[in-house]
Amino acid sequence: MQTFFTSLYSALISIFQSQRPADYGLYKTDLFSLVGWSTLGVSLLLVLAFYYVFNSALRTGMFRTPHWALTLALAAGLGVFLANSLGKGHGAEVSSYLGYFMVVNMLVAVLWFLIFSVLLKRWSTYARTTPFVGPF
Amino acid sequence: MPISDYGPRPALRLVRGFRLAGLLLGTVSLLTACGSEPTETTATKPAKGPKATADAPVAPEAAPLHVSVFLEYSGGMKGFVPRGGADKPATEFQQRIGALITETQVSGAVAERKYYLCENAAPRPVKFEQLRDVVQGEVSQAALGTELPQMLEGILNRPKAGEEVSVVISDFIYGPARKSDFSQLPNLIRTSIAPVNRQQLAVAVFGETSHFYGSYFPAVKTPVQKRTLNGEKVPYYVWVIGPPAQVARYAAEVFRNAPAQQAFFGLKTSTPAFAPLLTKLTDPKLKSSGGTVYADNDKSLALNPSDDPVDFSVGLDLKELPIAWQQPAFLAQHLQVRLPNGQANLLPGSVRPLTEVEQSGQPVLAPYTHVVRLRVSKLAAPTATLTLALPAPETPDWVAAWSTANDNTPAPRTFGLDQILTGVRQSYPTTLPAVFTVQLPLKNDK
Repeated sequence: MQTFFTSLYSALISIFQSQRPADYGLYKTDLFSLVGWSTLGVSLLLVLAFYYVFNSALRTGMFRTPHWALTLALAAGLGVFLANSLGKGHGAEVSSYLGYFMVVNMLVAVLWFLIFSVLLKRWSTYARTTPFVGPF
Repeated sequence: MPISDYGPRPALRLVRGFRLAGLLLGTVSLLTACGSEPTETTATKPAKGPKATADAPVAPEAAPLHVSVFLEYSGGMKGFVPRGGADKPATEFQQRIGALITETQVSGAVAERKYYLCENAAPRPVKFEQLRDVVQGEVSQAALGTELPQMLEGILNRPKAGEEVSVVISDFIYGPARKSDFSQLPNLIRTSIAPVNRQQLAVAVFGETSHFYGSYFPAVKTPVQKRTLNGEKVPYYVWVIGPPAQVARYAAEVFRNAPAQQAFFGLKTSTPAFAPLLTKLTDPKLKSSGGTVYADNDKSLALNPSDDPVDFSVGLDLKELPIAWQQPAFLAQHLQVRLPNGQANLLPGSVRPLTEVEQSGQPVLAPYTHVVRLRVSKLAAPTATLTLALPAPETPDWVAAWSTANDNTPAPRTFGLDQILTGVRQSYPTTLPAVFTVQLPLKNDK
């Protein structure tokens, strides 16, 4: 999985910047997998919260697409926040690479959120058609 | 009922919620289980990016030195140690040697010190106070003296002479009883210091001229046998002989105010602390530039010089080198960078000592005394080893200038000094071994 995260993030960041920073070793050994897992987890938790807490266990009426889009935005924001705080917490230097890492992690968080939404929405009681009907 | 339209009754819905929660919990724990393995591998990996640079191989603290100081005390040396007074300044010899033996006596780098006077072939052990009395001119009688090769032989043939530092203070004027011995001067020296050859000990030679008051016995006896000098300057020398790393330590830590004339033979230091400096640097001049370069987790340096040459700084701990060799100009001239399957060089003007402010202000710089900037402009192989070495310099130029074939007229020159040091030089291989060599594994980051 670490290899997967490393190749995923370094490939996506290299779209913006091909030059690797002096502390790339830290990204490679620590940050990519740590931030990768946290982002995956956070996206999953948000999806679970949206479909199964607020729209199954509770009946809040927040099943509309704007609600879903707001949760998606929250996932994106948390993606940026995780990359930034975990990166700096582990000693990454403030650099353009860290900036692009934050951007890429935002996209990755959104990606996970979309995938989990599509996979898990059908078992939701009130939001199985949010944001769209199908495919299962 | 509207409620039933939406789904089961509240109680049932709750049960269903729990079921769902259980399912989700299962999924999460499954995911973490998958994740736990790589996370652990990450945690146990010792070399993390920036730490690889911080955890530089710090050289273990060297064992304290065992030092024996030998002062030749013959009639020819008496002139260096006149009995002074408040109105007469001390000679250079008295100042320098007085400071040297005092430093040897009190320095924490020295574990055991012994003092000897060389009056004939066998050195006579004396107390520190007695030796100091000789240096300050308090002792009036001097022995006849011994010939240079015999004196060196007597010093180096002591048991354990090859394991400790021997400091020989003498004018190194060769005056053999048999005139024919002159023709074999280099060979006689080489024979007398045979342990140097056999055990590859190092010899450090320090030369200085000093005011001289008294009888001067030249090697060349014509036209006069001896002269009485009244303050003319003649040279004397301090030889430091011993295992290479110990000689280096003695020269750097004890003989700190050494005279400018220095020559070193066979000197080697223990491998200095050395690491690329990449992260946690505040000085922009130290930061890497031009391309990808980072410390990989297997302690090698990953870099990609295919587009632009890669510049980066490395830290070196050179405190064991003699003070003269710590000068940036000397290092810039002599340091050698080798990179098989690639191209690397030292950036001109990039060698510099670190200031105390930099060392204390930036923890990453603390283990090092010098920084050097390297440029890798080509790396053809997937992996390669960069070597940074300080080849031993050949006999310096001042030796020739301080040598003379006729010392009957006193001058700041010594009879046959070049021949004496040729004898020393011949004790080592044709190519002197490098003073130190450090290596840095490189990896091509495609």
